[in-house]
Amino acid sequence: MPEWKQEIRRRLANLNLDPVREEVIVEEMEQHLADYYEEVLSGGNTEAEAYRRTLAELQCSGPLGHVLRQPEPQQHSEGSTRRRSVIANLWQDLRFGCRMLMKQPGFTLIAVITLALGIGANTAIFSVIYTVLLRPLPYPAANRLVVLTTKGTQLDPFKGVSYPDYLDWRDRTRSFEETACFVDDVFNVTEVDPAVAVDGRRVNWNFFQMLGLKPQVGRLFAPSDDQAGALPTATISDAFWHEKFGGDAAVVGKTIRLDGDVFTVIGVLPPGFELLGHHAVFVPLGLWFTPGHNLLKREVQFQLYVLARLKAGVTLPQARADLSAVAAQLEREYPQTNRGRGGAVDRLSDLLVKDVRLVLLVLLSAVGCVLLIACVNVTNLMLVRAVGRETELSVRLALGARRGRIIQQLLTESMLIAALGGIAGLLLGAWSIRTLSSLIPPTLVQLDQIKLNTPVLLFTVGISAITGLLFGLLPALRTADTNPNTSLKKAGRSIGRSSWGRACNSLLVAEVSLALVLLVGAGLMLRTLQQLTRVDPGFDVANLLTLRSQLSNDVYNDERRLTFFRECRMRLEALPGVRSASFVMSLPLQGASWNLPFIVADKPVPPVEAIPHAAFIPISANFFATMGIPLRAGRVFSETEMNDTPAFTVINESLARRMWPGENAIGKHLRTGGADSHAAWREVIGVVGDVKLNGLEQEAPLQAYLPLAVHNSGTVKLVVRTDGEPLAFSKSIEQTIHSLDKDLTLETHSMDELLGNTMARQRLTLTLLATLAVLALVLAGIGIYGVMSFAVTERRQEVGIRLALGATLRDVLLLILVQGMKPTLLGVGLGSAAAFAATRLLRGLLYGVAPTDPLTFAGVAVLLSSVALVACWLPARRATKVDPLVALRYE
Amino acid sequence: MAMTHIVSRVFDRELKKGSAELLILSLVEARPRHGYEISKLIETRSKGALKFNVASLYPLLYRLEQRGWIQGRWVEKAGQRRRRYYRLTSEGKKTLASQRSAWESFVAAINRITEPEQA
Repeated sequence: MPEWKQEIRRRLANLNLDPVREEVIVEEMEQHLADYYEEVLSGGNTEAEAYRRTLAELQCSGPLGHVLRQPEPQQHSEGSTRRRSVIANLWQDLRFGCRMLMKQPGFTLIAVITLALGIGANTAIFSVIYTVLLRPLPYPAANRLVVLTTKGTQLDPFKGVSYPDYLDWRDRTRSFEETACFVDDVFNVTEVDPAVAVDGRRVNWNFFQMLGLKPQVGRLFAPSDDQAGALPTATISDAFWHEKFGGDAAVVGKTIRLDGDVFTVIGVLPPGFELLGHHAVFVPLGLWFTPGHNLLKREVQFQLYVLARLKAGVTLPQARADLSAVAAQLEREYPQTNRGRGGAVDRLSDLLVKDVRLVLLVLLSAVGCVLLIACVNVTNLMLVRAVGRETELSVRLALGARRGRIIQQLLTESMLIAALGGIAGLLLGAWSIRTLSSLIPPTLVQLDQIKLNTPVLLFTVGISAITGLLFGLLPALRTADTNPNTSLKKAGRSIGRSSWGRACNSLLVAEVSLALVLLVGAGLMLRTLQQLTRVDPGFDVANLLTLRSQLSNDVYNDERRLTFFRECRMRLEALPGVRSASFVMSLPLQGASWNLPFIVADKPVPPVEAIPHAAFIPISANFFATMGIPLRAGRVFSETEMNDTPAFTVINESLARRMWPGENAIGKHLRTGGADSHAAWREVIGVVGDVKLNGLEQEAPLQAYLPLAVHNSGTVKLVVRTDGEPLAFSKSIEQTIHSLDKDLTLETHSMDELLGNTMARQRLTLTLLATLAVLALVLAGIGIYGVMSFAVTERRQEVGIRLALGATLRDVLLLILVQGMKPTLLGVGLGSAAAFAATRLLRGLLYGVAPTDPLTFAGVAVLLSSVALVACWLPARRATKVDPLVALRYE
Repeated sequence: MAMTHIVSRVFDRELKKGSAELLILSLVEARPRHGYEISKLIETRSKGALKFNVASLYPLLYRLEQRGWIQGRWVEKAGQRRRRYYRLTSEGKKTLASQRSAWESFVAAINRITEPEQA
């Protein structure tokens, strides 16, 4: 039979066809010619005649290529040929990969779910991190915006600035281009229905300008608005505008009453603007400072902060040095007031995320670990699967496939799995973001802006691709390294435990170590929360209702406030279910609002820097009984002593111990202020238990209680002891208060809720970390199980031989368990070392437990080893069921 | 005589060119067929009057395939070499219907003209 292919190829030569396509044409035509040749021969012709006639079939008006030119797309250059063949190969790999994955749905499903969990968790956490930490602030030159505060000391953490200090800072420093002050305040807004208390802020006129804000309606403040005696003006937030004015543009020029004073609304801020908290109303700061105003004194530090913009080219350390130098000058000039005040400069962007940065970094590390574990698991699966495919790949290698081509094909398969995992992970991530948003308390971070956006999508695509490479490369390289000769000889039989086993084992070690780090982290947070719930806050938390309100200065002077307190208490205590009620200026756990220096009568006055500070807490009678604060010595205030004549005080144990160690504090005297203070001496009549004022994890400060008559303001808190669930009584209590003043706005919480809020950061970290740790544990368990199952299948013959030679079932069980537990225990060891280093990151979140807590480490090691033991035991038990005869026959 | 032969050959070629697509589409209408089968059928059914050699048949098949009227597919049968079978696509079915009716009206028109006139 003549060779037709050469003939056909020669005629197609000038056509430059795609090689694959050309092969198809050649094969088809060759077949036709062969059939025709046979036919001519069978008609009784000679071979020569048949050859001549067959060849004539290929003749046409021009060369064959010419005729084919029309229907066949041609290739023009060598480069595009290569490109086309790369694309053709890729397409072929993709289709082949799809078929392979569909042929093993179990493998595919497990791999995709594993990756989806890892990628989903990363997507969700990254979306939060992007929004909170990475996204630039939407202000011009935002990286140069800083906030100036006083430094604060151990004794007095109060960081507000006094106004005269601010003026000196502004005039004497050289690092700042522009500065503006702001003070947060609460305003009672009347003349809107219903009357509300809203968070507001007093700002310098250039505050908005520094942030580059443009009003959506009207105008923002001008220098003329920002001075004492100017016409009172206000700008309002977009939310407040919509809520109270229905988004009406005619709001400009309308007036609102803030704490009784009339303000003209001049503009509405752009939607979404918020800086360090939500604020509904902004008024010029300068309006406040009428000559002789109390807040203009240097000794008065209040919650005034300074927004500043660094001059271009000035670094943060330079600015800090500059401000410290000025603060030191002031300290020398005004030693009485400015001793130890100092000055601090922080980037605005850092302040905005202060509380959550640590939590987020811990979580990012944790989800990173989970993804790595997922990768390790899938790598293991791929390795195991690769062993099964060794024969197939060996045949291909033997037939001349290039190794590069096989690696490309295996990588295509892993990228396909990664892509599926990425898509599923994205969906999971989108769902988790919603769950996360409901889990994270808004006090920690504003989550309404967290969503899937382009950077998050890019991140997900990126990690999916990296993941695909991570878990695909090792199996692909190892597989392509197969020696076709030896593995073909072994075809049909399982290969030894050799190199595959070693690779699987190292991965197991890595997986167990990572899971251990996560579990230790979660364990430490669990212990922290446990410790926190065990902390005695110093009072009885159950059945306690708290209410906050703002008495308008317009309606209430000092006299009327005291009358209101008395009247309100009487009416509340008459309510069924209410045992007692008491007013107080600052609630426990919420931070003390009135920290003052004090001296005692019977001891020498210490130097200024050593003068102790205490939280002075004005209360109404009955406070200790209502709160359940135990009396340690002496007595508490009587109702008649509430008018503060004579001047008494009740102190806490810490204060008594600190000032009069080993003495009886009752009958001693103290007074607020330093050596030159003119405040009245107060006699100590009682000592009560310590109360946690600044959160559970903080030591109780020195405390001194005073009657409300000494000091009170419009911002009041009320505590009510009830018979049973306190929130059940909130309605009748609110009604009773409104019967005294219907315009009062009330914010009601049970003490339980307040207590819960103080642990929010730790609880959130625990919830998320525990979720991730459980995920890691499950993945690690599945990983160990998968590898051991495979190992058992591999060692079936060996087990069969051992059994046939007289090994007991126990021997076999032990054999397999030891094989599995070796890498596990190695992983536990390495993981403990890694956790030892990694948990330092957690230090700032822990309470009452060391980052290297041996109990946690041991507990986690036992837990992880037990899970591993179960994961090994299941396949090991299967090994014992091997029938020696069947296993040997396999051979 | 020679002149008639040349005219007849030109006429023949033009006719073939116009009708070739119709022939192939018709042949794969009932069931898929491979190239050799198609060329044999054309030759036998036309009693040798029409014949496509390899050099003209396959470019035609590829063109029809390119247009999406037919689709080729390798089929392996036990004990045989694999062959490429062409089947009519749904697009091809529509084309066949319209070409067929165009052909019929064309033939009818020619017939009406070329019929001997009745005296």
